[in-house]
Amino acid sequence: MKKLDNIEKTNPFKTPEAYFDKLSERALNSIKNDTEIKTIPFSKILFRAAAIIILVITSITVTYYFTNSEKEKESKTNIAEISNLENYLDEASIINKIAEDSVVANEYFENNFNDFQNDTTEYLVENMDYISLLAEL
Amino acid sequence: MEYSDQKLVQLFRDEHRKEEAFTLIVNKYKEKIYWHIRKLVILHDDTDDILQNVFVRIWKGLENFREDSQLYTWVYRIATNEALTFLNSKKKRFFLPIVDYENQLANSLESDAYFNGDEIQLKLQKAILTLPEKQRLVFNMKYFDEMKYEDMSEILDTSVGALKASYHHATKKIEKFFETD
Repeated sequence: MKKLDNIEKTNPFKTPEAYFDKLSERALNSIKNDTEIKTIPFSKILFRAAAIIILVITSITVTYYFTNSEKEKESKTNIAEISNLENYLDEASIINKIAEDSVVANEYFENNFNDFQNDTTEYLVENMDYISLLAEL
Repeated sequence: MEYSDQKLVQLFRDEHRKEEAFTLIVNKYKEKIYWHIRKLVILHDDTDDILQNVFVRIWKGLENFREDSQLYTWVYRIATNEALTFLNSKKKRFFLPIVDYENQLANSLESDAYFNGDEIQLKLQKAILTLPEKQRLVFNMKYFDEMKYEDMSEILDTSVGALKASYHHATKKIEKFFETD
């Protein structure tokens, strides 16, 4: 087995002539170029701003359009529901409904009227002014 | 007069001396960094591109350099990361598995105008190119640059034990390559 120690340790690569001499100057140029590339010109900023504004307006318009059409659909459905309701209510069912309501009202009135009548009689008996009554008679 | 790394960082933070400090840093490390990258990516043109990126990264990062580590290891770490990123992007770009790209590099060495090694040197480079990237990195840093394991540990963020094992395996593989090829 060939040992690495037996191989002469030399650098087998080379560079173009005077390569290292101008390296620092080139490095500074690369940095300046890099900074220039990173500086975005005003026209580009303007273009990007315009694009963003157009995007916002478009999205607002689209959202408005879809929201409105949803609302329109909803109101149309309501109207449809009401007209369906009218179809289901016939005259007989309306009369029945009124009659039921009257029965309930009458029962209430009768019960409460009797109580009212008793209360009035009781009051008159207790607070009767007999002298004035006799004088009038 | 050569400034210490600490002094260079201080100078860089002075807005009026920023470029001067940067030039001094580049001059101090350019050759070491160049050879570090070159041994990994093999071709001069690729090395040059990576080196320019490394300098840009140094310029951008030095302002916030916290001095937790030495400037020397920080610069090396940037160079290593840039070189590895470059190799990975190159492999992805050509949809080539790792072995193929390294084979391609090994073959290109023979016709490379900037390679002037003899037959044994060529064979050694081909053997190194058979190693996995990280092992290749460890081997180059130890064998050619004779770097301390402690420094390598800081640059590669790997334990000294793991680096020693990696170097040992790399050496064995290379010796085996010489035996079988």
